[in-house]
Amino acid sequence: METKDIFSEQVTIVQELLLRKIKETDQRGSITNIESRYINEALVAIDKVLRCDFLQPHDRILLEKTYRCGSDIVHERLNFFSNYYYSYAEIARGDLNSQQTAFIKINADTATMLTIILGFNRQICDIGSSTDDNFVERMPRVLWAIQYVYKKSLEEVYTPSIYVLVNLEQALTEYIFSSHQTYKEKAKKLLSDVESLLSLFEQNAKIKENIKSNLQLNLFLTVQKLRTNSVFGNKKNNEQLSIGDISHVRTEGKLRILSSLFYLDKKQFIQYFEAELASLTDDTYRSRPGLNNFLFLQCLSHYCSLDELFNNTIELNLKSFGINKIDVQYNLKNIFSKYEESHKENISRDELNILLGYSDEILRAKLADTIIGVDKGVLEREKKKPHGAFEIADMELKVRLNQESYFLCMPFKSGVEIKSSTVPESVSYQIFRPFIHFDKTIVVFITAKRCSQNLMNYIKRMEDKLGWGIAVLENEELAKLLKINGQLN
Amino acid sequence: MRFDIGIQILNLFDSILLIVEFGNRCSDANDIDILIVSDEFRDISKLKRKELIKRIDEYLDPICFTSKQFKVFKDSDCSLFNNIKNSHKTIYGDERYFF
Repeated sequence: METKDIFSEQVTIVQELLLRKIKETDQRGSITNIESRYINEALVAIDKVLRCDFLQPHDRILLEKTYRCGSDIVHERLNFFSNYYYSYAEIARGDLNSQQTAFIKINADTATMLTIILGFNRQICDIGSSTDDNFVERMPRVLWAIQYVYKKSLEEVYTPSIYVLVNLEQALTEYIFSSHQTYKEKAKKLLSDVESLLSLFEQNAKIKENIKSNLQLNLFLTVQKLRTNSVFGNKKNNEQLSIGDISHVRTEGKLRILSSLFYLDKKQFIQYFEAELASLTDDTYRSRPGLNNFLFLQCLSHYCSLDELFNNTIELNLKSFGINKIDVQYNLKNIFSKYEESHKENISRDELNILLGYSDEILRAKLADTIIGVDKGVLEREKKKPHGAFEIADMELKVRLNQESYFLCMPFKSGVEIKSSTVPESVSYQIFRPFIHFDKTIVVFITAKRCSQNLMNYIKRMEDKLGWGIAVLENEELAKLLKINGQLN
Repeated sequence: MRFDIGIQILNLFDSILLIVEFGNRCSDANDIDILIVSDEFRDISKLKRKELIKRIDEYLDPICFTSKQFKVFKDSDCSLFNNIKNSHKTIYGDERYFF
């Protein structure tokens, strides 16, 4: 089996596992910390896949939609970071068992915040709710808990304490590197506190020895320290890495070592990954599907993003879900005034040039005046809406078709914006994007210039393959609609 | 909260069961904290729910729940739920089913 095929198959498996878990927890109405960890590991794997530039736009959309469903479900469970809030009490007053449980709970919340930040970077998730405020507000309680472990020399929980700190370091640096601003200063202060605590632990000879002998933890710590150094502008550590033989390490550990190695030394990562690929593949396929698939996919994504064999795009075999199929073309008459009659109009070359000369704003305003069944105030707002970072289409309106409500999303391309003679296939991602955020949505792509044959074929193929409801109003057909409604002038 | 804002929210989502305004929970005093319960939220991402509402009025700071999610929220008996329960003003819906 080629690496490319293993990669494709693992993406499919991970998507299936994640969707199954989401469905299961959604039906039950609750989610455990272990399940939260499971979902977050899968989300991190999907994030790594999304970093590969050889994906096709529709596969990217399906993965982003899977990501947002997973992220939405773990975010709900956060409960205002109550796990952080109670951490000190649970660790200071509890026995070893409740301390271990507290660590799992803290790590679950940290992992959720990490995946929300990763989702924010991809404009899939939002940061800034009152729950998110508690990430920074309640984190000091976790640090008190870890300080307690150190002060009371609770040796049995030294290693989980280090993991808690390194996980916090990872989430905080990810946040600081993101474009979100609200918690930036607090996050930097907390990162500095986490770093000081880690240094304190590292001064202890026993802990030092523990880290040295635990390659998985050692590399994870090194990666996060490098990230922290770059936040504070400290000098990078150029120490030569010596990994040694990892063939005896169990699969999960091996995969975590490789994941860290990718960030530290790409050459060694390739060398070790290629040496271990056969055994990793064999073990992952033989074992019960789960966590190792997520970790394996992370490594495969790293490898494929470096390897030349992925120069061309590949098509994955992902599942389309949560879509209510509707014939959009048929329903255009219920969305646009005089749509059917407009076919009889004749369009001159001059009239077509008028359309091609419209800017995005003018085209939006003119088309808005042909839409029926939508409140005038809402239309006014939508046609003047400024372009925002999280905007998924130029116009998003609620419409009723066949006694059902849908969000009508309309991406626009004016003749001024498109420089080529036809609209290239590269805009397809923008056309498909509403399917990430809405289940009941239809897309009408409005374009002054004609779509290229490749773009048209791609849209049709996705309608058939994935059940997406998309229609195109282009060039002459668009001019006719505007003309019959007195807007082509 | 202005009357027309409530109307616009009702026009935006189907089957809204409850809209309540509650005490300010953020440092920004201009924010209007609202809780909306609608089963249509099942079909819309969290990010998009918030973004659509903020488009009506940028000062709106919504918490959007499906009825199932609201039940989990209520059962958690967290401080925010109690804050809403004790300080809310119902804009739409029959609050007896919720509090």
